[in-house]
Amino acid sequence: MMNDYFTFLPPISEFHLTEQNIISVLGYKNVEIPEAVKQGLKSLLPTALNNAVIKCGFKIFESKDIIITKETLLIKAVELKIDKIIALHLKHADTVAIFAATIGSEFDQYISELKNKDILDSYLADTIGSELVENVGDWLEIKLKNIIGNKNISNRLSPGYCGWKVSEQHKLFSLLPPDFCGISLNDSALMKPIKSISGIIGIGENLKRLDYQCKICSLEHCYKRNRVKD
Amino acid sequence: MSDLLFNLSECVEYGKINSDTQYPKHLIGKKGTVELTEEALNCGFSPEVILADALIMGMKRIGEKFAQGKAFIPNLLIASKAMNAASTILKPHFQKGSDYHKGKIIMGTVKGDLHDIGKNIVKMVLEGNGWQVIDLGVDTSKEKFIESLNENKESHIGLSALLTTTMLNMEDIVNSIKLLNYGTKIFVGGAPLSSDFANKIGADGYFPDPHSFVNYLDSLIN
Repeated sequence: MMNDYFTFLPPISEFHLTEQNIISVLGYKNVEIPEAVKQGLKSLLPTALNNAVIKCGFKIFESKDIIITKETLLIKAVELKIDKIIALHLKHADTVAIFAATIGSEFDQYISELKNKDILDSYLADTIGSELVENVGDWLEIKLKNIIGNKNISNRLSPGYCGWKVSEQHKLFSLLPPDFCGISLNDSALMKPIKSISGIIGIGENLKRLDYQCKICSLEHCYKRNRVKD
Repeated sequence: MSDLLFNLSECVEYGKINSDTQYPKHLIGKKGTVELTEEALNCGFSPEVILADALIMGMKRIGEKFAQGKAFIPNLLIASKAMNAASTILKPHFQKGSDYHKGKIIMGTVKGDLHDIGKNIVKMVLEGNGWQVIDLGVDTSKEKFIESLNENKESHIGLSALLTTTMLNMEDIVNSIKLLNYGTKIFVGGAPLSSDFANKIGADGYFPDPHSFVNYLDSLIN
């Protein structure tokens, strides 16, 4: 099992994104939701989901291949400067999985076409895409748990969050097979397709799954803050 | 304020573009910004008064709700769409040579970054509040910003980035523009940014949302 990688092509029917999910992510809690948003989501959500082509997977490393320090994670010869917050999440991890997931370039194209038509629709579609790819991440965690058995797993921890620089994406992807899930990086470490996620998940019998440490993170306007609140 | 101008401001606030627009519920079947703007002109209101006392007033109210957490980005976009529909009707009625726009902003997502939803939202809200936006798109080089500034020397500049890697490209752009000595104000925005970062790279301000940006820009001309 170890040092193996797993890839999945889950059908969209595996995901149950609702208009209410998106409304919540948009911020509407105990305030009036504009009719335009309700109507927009009603027509956009089915179309948006039809434009998603989901690919996801992970690679699990052997315990002997990793060393976790207070600020770094060494996987084989690759040193990831994960910083203190993420190192805390990995406390008591025996090993890690590197994951990636995307909803495909077709979705990028779909958003791009909407941009030229209606700014509200493109914003709603963008939000649907962001939430869907996070749902794929949630789904992937369940798959990982099924494979590792009784061990615990950490939250998903990604470059660009919690003090881990996004430029480290290049190192992260160097540990995955080429063109993993069809995701590529540009010089700025931007993933293409844009609606993609990547990162690590700690695995360990004695590992405790911690909440995201938003209170001590300096990334004030992070997307995960809204999601964590739910 | 007259009832007509108040109704027009309400249509902007709630994004009712015309009588066919099926929201908000309490305005269904009533006239929207398109009809009411035409009516206001026919009644003899000057375009300046319609703009200031109705359209901008509606945008201001939705902006205040946004600041109070009672409205969100979609509300700003809905209102901006209605505002822009009214502005299209109003535009030909401004006297030739009069300053219809409050000012110009050159905007772009910096080199290496392809994210533009945030920039597009800010653009829409700025335009809805009477500012002219020159949109340079995504993956915008320093040279492209300078070229546009040379053609529009009185403009402010807005730089956008969503990545911690690409936000670092902002410093070089800021330094190069400041060297031109046009007195250009440069503002930055994007999820990983902060006021500290803006100060560090010599930018003139960071804004976490379009409403606070518009308020600041308006304060520069008031």
